[in-house]
Amino acid sequence: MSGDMSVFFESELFIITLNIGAYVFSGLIMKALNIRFMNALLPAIAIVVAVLILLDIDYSTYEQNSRFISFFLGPSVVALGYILHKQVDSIKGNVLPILISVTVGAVVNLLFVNLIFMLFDTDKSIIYSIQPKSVTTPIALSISEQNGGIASLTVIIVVFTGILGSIIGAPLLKLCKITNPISKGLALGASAHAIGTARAAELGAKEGAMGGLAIGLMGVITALILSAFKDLLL
Amino acid sequence: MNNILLGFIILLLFLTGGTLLNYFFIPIIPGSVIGMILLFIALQLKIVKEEHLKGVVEFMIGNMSIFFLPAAAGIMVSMPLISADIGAISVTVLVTTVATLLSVGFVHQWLNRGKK
Repeated sequence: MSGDMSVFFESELFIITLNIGAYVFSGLIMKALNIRFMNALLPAIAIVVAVLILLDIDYSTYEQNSRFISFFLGPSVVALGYILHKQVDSIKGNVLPILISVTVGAVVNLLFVNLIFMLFDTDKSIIYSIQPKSVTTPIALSISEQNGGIASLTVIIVVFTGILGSIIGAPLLKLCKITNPISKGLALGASAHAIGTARAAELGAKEGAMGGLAIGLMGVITALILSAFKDLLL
Repeated sequence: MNNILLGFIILLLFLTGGTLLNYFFIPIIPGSVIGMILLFIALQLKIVKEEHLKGVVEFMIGNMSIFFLPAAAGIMVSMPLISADIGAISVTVLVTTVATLLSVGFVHQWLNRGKK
Protein backbone atom coordinates (compact mmCIF):
# COMPACT_ATOMS: atom_id res chain seq x y z
CA MET A 1 0.00 0.00 0.00
CA SER A 2 2.82 2.39 0.88
CA GLY A 3 4.10 2.06 -2.69
CA ASP A 4 0.82 3.37 -4.08
CA MET A 5 0.71 6.24 -1.62
CA SER A 6 4.22 7.48 -2.50
CA VAL A 7 3.07 7.84 -6.11
CA PHE A 8 0.26 10.07 -4.87
CA PHE A 9 2.58 12.06 -2.56
CA GLU A 10 4.82 12.83 -5.53
CA SER A 11 1.93 13.96 -7.73
CA GLU A 12 1.33 17.54 -8.81
CA LEU A 13 -2.08 17.50 -7.09
CA PHE A 14 -0.61 16.62 -3.70
CA ILE A 15 2.35 19.04 -3.97
CA ILE A 16 0.22 22.02 -5.01
CA THR A 17 -2.34 21.23 -2.30
CA LEU A 18 0.54 21.06 0.19
CA ASN A 19 1.86 24.49 -0.90
CA ILE A 20 -1.47 26.31 -0.83
CA GLY A 21 -2.62 24.42 2.27
CA ALA A 22 0.54 25.28 4.23
CA TYR A 23 0.29 28.94 3.19
CA VAL A 24 -3.42 29.34 4.01
CA PHE A 25 -3.05 27.40 7.27
CA SER A 26 -0.12 29.51 8.54
CA GLY A 27 -1.97 32.67 7.50
CA LEU A 28 -4.95 31.61 9.61
CA ILE A 29 -2.70 30.74 12.58
CA MET A 30 -0.93 34.12 12.36
CA LYS A 31 -4.31 35.85 12.30
CA ALA A 32 -5.73 33.82 15.19
CA LEU A 33 -2.65 34.51 17.33
CA ASN A 34 -2.67 38.15 16.21
CA ILE A 35 1.01 37.98 15.21
CA ARG A 36 1.45 40.88 12.82
CA PHE A 37 5.23 41.37 12.65
CA MET A 38 5.81 37.86 11.38
CA ASN A 39 5.34 36.89 7.75
CA ALA A 40 3.07 33.88 7.07
CA LEU A 41 5.82 32.56 4.79
CA LEU A 42 8.12 31.36 7.60
CA PRO A 43 5.66 28.93 9.25
CA ALA A 44 4.57 27.80 5.76
CA ILE A 45 8.22 26.93 4.92
CA ALA A 46 8.48 24.95 8.16
CA ILE A 47 5.27 23.02 7.39
CA VAL A 48 6.35 22.19 3.81
CA VAL A 49 9.85 21.06 4.85
CA ALA A 50 8.41 18.95 7.70
CA VAL A 51 5.92 17.21 5.38
CA LEU A 52 8.59 16.58 2.72
CA ILE A 53 10.91 14.98 5.27
CA LEU A 54 8.10 13.02 6.94
CA LEU A 55 6.79 11.59 3.65
CA ASP A 56 10.31 11.13 2.23
CA ILE A 57 9.73 13.35 -0.83
CA ASP A 58 12.83 14.66 -2.70
CA TYR A 59 13.21 18.43 -2.87
CA SER A 60 13.74 18.19 -6.64
CA THR A 61 10.45 16.23 -7.05
CA TYR A 62 8.68 18.83 -4.92
CA GLU A 63 10.21 21.74 -6.83
CA GLN A 64 9.27 20.31 -10.24
CA ASN A 65 5.66 19.75 -9.21
CA SER A 66 5.48 23.25 -7.69
CA ARG A 67 6.11 24.96 -11.04
CA PHE A 68 2.47 26.02 -11.32
CA ILE A 69 3.02 28.19 -8.23
CA SER A 70 6.57 29.46 -8.93
CA PHE A 71 5.44 30.54 -12.40
CA PHE A 72 3.51 33.47 -10.91
CA LEU A 73 6.76 35.07 -9.62
CA GLY A 74 7.55 36.71 -12.95
CA PRO A 75 4.08 38.23 -13.50
CA SER A 76 4.03 39.47 -9.88
CA VAL A 77 7.26 41.46 -10.46
CA VAL A 78 5.64 43.03 -13.55
CA ALA A 79 2.59 43.82 -11.38
CA LEU A 80 4.83 46.01 -9.18
CA GLY A 81 4.97 48.44 -12.13
CA TYR A 82 1.30 49.17 -11.41
CA ILE A 83 2.07 49.87 -7.72
CA LEU A 84 4.88 52.23 -8.74
CA HIS A 85 2.50 54.00 -11.14
CA LYS A 86 -0.09 54.47 -8.38
CA GLN A 87 2.50 56.14 -6.08
CA VAL A 88 3.82 58.63 -8.60
CA ASP A 89 1.18 61.32 -7.96
CA SER A 90 2.07 61.52 -4.27
CA ILE A 91 5.69 62.58 -4.88
CA LYS A 92 5.27 65.64 -7.08
CA GLY A 93 8.03 68.16 -6.31
CA ASN A 94 10.04 65.65 -4.29
CA VAL A 95 11.33 63.39 -7.05
CA LEU A 96 15.04 64.18 -6.85
CA PRO A 97 15.45 63.86 -3.04
CA ILE A 98 13.58 60.54 -3.21
CA LEU A 99 15.71 59.16 -6.05
CA ILE A 100 18.95 60.32 -4.40
CA SER A 101 18.13 58.96 -0.94
CA VAL A 102 16.99 55.53 -2.21
CA THR A 103 20.08 55.31 -4.47
CA VAL A 104 22.30 56.11 -1.46
CA GLY A 105 20.46 53.36 0.46
CA ALA A 106 21.01 50.84 -2.34
CA VAL A 107 24.75 51.70 -2.51
CA VAL A 108 25.14 51.56 1.28
CA ASN A 109 23.40 48.17 1.37
CA LEU A 110 25.65 46.66 -1.32
CA LEU A 111 28.87 48.19 0.11
CA PHE A 112 28.13 46.91 3.61
CA VAL A 113 27.29 43.40 2.39
CA ASN A 114 30.58 43.27 0.47
CA LEU A 115 32.66 44.88 3.24
CA ILE A 116 31.43 42.54 5.94
CA PHE A 117 31.91 39.52 3.73
CA MET A 118 35.49 40.59 3.04
CA LEU A 119 36.08 40.33 6.79
CA PHE A 120 34.67 36.82 6.90
CA ASP A 121 35.97 34.41 4.30
CA THR A 122 32.84 32.90 2.76
CA ASP A 123 31.63 31.29 -0.41
CA LYS A 124 30.83 33.80 -3.17
CA SER A 125 27.44 32.24 -3.84
CA ILE A 126 26.45 33.37 -0.34
CA ILE A 127 27.42 37.00 -1.12
CA TYR A 128 25.37 36.88 -4.33
CA SER A 129 22.44 35.51 -2.34
CA ILE A 130 22.60 38.30 0.26
CA GLN A 131 23.29 41.34 -1.97
CA PRO A 132 19.59 41.87 -2.84
CA LYS A 133 18.46 41.37 0.78
CA SER A 134 16.59 44.69 1.09
CA VAL A 135 14.79 44.17 -2.24
CA THR A 136 11.27 42.75 -2.52
CA THR A 137 11.47 38.93 -2.80
CA PRO A 138 10.49 38.29 -6.46
CA ILE A 139 13.00 40.88 -7.72
CA ALA A 140 15.60 39.69 -5.20
CA LEU A 141 15.14 36.12 -6.46
CA SER A 142 15.68 37.02 -10.09
CA ILE A 143 18.76 39.13 -9.23
CA SER A 144 20.18 36.34 -7.05
CA GLU A 145 19.54 33.62 -9.66
CA GLN A 146 21.02 35.70 -12.46
CA ASN A 147 24.24 36.28 -10.47
CA GLY A 148 24.62 32.71 -9.20
CA GLY A 149 23.17 33.01 -5.70
CA ILE A 150 21.28 30.35 -3.72
CA ALA A 151 17.54 30.98 -4.24
CA SER A 152 16.33 29.56 -0.93
CA LEU A 153 18.93 31.52 1.07
CA THR A 154 17.91 34.74 -0.70
CA VAL A 155 14.23 34.22 0.11
CA ILE A 156 14.88 33.53 3.77
CA ILE A 157 17.38 36.42 4.17
CA VAL A 158 14.94 38.82 2.49
CA VAL A 159 12.11 37.75 4.80
CA PHE A 160 14.31 38.02 7.92
CA THR A 161 15.53 41.45 6.79
CA GLY A 162 11.89 42.55 6.43
CA ILE A 163 10.92 41.31 9.88
CA LEU A 164 14.03 42.85 11.47
CA GLY A 165 13.45 46.20 9.76
CA SER A 166 9.79 46.30 10.73
CA ILE A 167 10.64 45.65 14.40
CA ILE A 168 13.66 47.93 14.91
CA GLY A 169 12.88 50.46 12.13
CA ALA A 170 10.42 52.83 13.78
CA PRO A 171 12.22 53.06 17.18
CA LEU A 172 15.61 53.59 15.45
CA LEU A 173 14.25 56.38 13.23
CA LYS A 174 12.78 58.07 16.31
CA LEU A 175 16.06 57.70 18.21
CA CYS A 176 17.97 59.31 15.32
CA LYS A 177 15.45 62.17 15.10
CA ILE A 178 14.23 61.29 11.61
CA THR A 179 10.73 62.76 11.83
CA ASN A 180 9.78 63.71 8.24
CA PRO A 181 6.96 61.26 7.36
CA ILE A 182 8.21 60.88 3.77
CA SER A 183 11.76 60.12 5.01
CA LYS A 184 10.43 57.54 7.47
CA GLY A 185 8.30 55.76 4.84
CA LEU A 186 11.15 55.66 2.33
CA ALA A 187 13.61 54.36 4.94
CA LEU A 188 11.29 51.53 6.00
CA GLY A 189 10.36 50.54 2.44
CA ALA A 190 13.94 50.71 1.14
CA SER A 191 15.48 48.70 4.00
CA ALA A 192 12.66 46.25 4.73
CA HIS A 193 10.55 46.12 1.51
CA ALA A 194 6.89 45.03 1.87
CA ILE A 195 7.15 43.96 5.53
CA GLY A 196 8.68 47.33 6.46
CA THR A 197 6.04 49.09 4.37
CA ALA A 198 3.25 47.36 6.27
CA ARG A 199 4.79 48.84 9.43
CA ALA A 200 5.15 52.24 7.73
CA ALA A 201 1.45 52.19 6.79
CA GLU A 202 0.64 51.87 10.50
CA LEU A 203 2.55 55.11 11.16
CA GLY A 204 0.46 56.97 8.60
CA ALA A 205 -0.93 56.99 5.05
CA LYS A 206 1.95 59.12 3.73
CA GLU A 207 4.53 56.79 5.26
CA GLY A 208 2.75 53.79 3.73
CA ALA A 209 2.60 55.26 0.22
CA MET A 210 6.29 56.21 0.39
CA GLY A 211 7.19 52.73 1.59
CA GLY A 212 5.39 51.28 -1.43
CA LEU A 213 7.27 53.61 -3.73
CA ALA A 214 10.61 52.75 -2.09
CA ILE A 215 9.99 49.01 -2.67
CA GLY A 216 9.83 49.50 -6.44
CA LEU A 217 12.69 52.00 -6.59
CA MET A 218 15.00 49.92 -4.39
CA GLY A 219 14.37 46.88 -6.62
CA VAL A 220 15.11 48.67 -9.87
CA ILE A 221 18.10 50.67 -8.54
CA THR A 222 19.72 47.64 -6.88
CA ALA A 223 19.32 45.61 -10.08
CA LEU A 224 20.86 48.43 -12.13
CA ILE A 225 23.82 49.01 -9.75
CA LEU A 226 24.55 45.29 -9.46
CA SER A 227 24.53 44.82 -13.21
CA ALA A 228 26.65 47.92 -13.88
CA PHE A 229 29.27 47.18 -11.21
CA LYS A 230 29.05 43.39 -11.08
CA ASP A 231 32.82 42.91 -11.36
CA LEU A 232 33.60 45.57 -8.77
CA LEU A 233 31.13 44.13 -6.27
CA LEU A 234 32.86 40.70 -6.37
CA MET B 1 -14.34 39.66 -20.95
CA ASN B 2 -13.21 38.50 -17.55
CA ASN B 3 -11.20 41.32 -16.03
CA ILE B 4 -8.75 39.13 -14.10
CA LEU B 5 -7.81 37.22 -17.26
CA LEU B 6 -7.52 40.42 -19.30
CA GLY B 7 -5.24 41.88 -16.60
CA PHE B 8 -3.24 38.65 -16.45
CA ILE B 9 -2.63 38.55 -20.19
CA ILE B 10 -1.38 42.17 -20.01
CA LEU B 11 1.11 41.12 -17.29
CA LEU B 12 2.18 38.10 -19.38
CA LEU B 13 2.69 40.21 -22.52
CA PHE B 14 4.88 42.70 -20.62
CA LEU B 15 6.78 39.80 -19.04
CA THR B 16 7.31 38.33 -22.52
CA GLY B 17 8.55 41.70 -23.82
CA GLY B 18 10.92 42.07 -20.85
CA THR B 19 12.18 38.50 -21.22
CA LEU B 20 12.90 38.94 -24.95
CA LEU B 21 14.71 42.25 -24.31
CA ASN B 22 16.72 40.54 -21.56
CA TYR B 23 17.61 37.66 -23.87
CA PHE B 24 18.63 39.68 -26.92
CA PHE B 25 19.74 43.12 -25.71
CA ILE B 26 20.05 43.69 -21.94
CA PRO B 27 21.18 40.44 -20.29
CA ILE B 28 22.24 42.31 -17.13
CA ILE B 29 18.73 43.29 -15.96
CA PRO B 30 16.25 40.47 -15.15
CA GLY B 31 13.45 40.19 -17.75
CA SER B 32 10.71 40.59 -15.13
CA VAL B 33 12.27 43.87 -13.92
CA ILE B 34 12.40 45.17 -17.52
CA GLY B 35 8.72 44.15 -17.87
CA MET B 36 7.90 46.05 -14.68
CA ILE B 37 9.60 49.23 -15.95
CA LEU B 38 7.82 48.90 -19.34
CA LEU B 39 4.43 48.45 -17.63
CA PHE B 40 5.11 51.50 -15.45
CA ILE B 41 5.89 53.58 -18.57
CA ALA B 42 2.83 52.25 -20.45
CA LEU B 43 0.58 53.16 -17.50
CA GLN B 44 2.12 56.64 -17.24
CA LEU B 45 1.56 57.21 -20.99
CA LYS B 46 -1.97 55.78 -20.62
CA ILE B 47 -1.23 53.10 -23.25
CA VAL B 48 -2.54 50.55 -20.72
CA LYS B 49 -5.65 51.36 -18.68
CA GLU B 50 -5.43 51.16 -14.88
CA GLU B 51 -8.82 49.49 -14.46
CA HIS B 52 -7.79 46.47 -16.57
CA LEU B 53 -5.00 45.70 -14.10
CA LYS B 54 -6.54 46.61 -10.74
CA GLY B 55 -8.13 43.22 -9.97
CA VAL B 56 -5.24 41.01 -11.00
CA VAL B 57 -2.63 43.22 -9.27
CA GLU B 58 -4.58 43.17 -5.99
CA PHE B 59 -4.72 39.37 -6.13
CA MET B 60 -1.05 38.92 -7.12
CA ILE B 61 0.47 41.44 -4.68
CA GLY B 62 -1.86 40.44 -1.83
CA ASN B 63 -0.78 36.80 -2.07
CA MET B 64 2.76 37.27 -3.29
CA SER B 65 4.46 35.29 -0.49
CA ILE B 66 3.13 31.95 -1.70
CA PHE B 67 4.82 32.32 -5.09
CA PHE B 68 8.28 31.98 -3.53
CA LEU B 69 7.37 29.25 -1.05
CA PRO B 70 8.79 26.52 -3.38
CA ALA B 71 12.12 28.38 -3.70
CA ALA B 72 12.28 29.04 0.05
CA ALA B 73 11.70 25.39 0.94
CA GLY B 74 14.99 24.72 -0.87
CA ILE B 75 16.58 25.67 2.44
CA MET B 76 16.29 21.94 3.28
CA VAL B 77 18.96 21.14 0.68
CA SER B 78 21.11 24.30 0.95
CA MET B 79 21.36 24.21 4.75
CA PRO B 80 24.79 22.48 4.85
CA LEU B 81 26.38 25.28 2.80
CA ILE B 82 24.75 28.00 4.90
CA SER B 83 25.29 26.60 8.40
CA ALA B 84 29.07 27.12 8.20
CA ASP B 85 28.53 30.83 7.54
CA ILE B 86 25.55 31.44 9.79
CA GLY B 87 27.49 33.94 11.97
CA ALA B 88 28.66 36.03 9.02
CA ILE B 89 25.17 36.00 7.53
CA SER B 90 23.52 37.16 10.78
CA VAL B 91 26.00 40.01 11.33
CA THR B 92 25.60 41.16 7.73
CA VAL B 93 21.81 41.18 7.84
CA LEU B 94 21.73 43.14 11.12
CA VAL B 95 24.38 45.74 10.25
CA THR B 96 23.32 46.38 6.65
CA THR B 97 19.61 46.64 7.48
CA VAL B 98 20.33 49.33 10.09
CA ALA B 99 22.78 51.12 7.75
CA THR B 100 20.31 51.13 4.84
CA LEU B 101 17.42 52.31 7.01
CA LEU B 102 19.32 55.22 8.56
CA SER B 103 21.14 56.31 5.37
CA VAL B 104 17.88 56.62 3.40
CA GLY B 105 16.13 58.42 6.29
CA PHE B 106 19.03 60.83 6.98
CA VAL B 107 19.74 61.69 3.35
CA HIS B 108 16.09 62.31 2.46
CA GLN B 109 15.42 64.40 5.57
CA TRP B 110 18.64 66.39 5.03
CA LEU B 111 17.75 67.12 1.38
CA ASN B 112 14.39 68.47 2.60
CA ARG B 113 15.82 70.50 5.50
CA GLY B 114 14.20 73.90 5.78
CA LYS B 115 10.93 72.61 4.33
CA LYS B 116 8.19 71.98 6.84
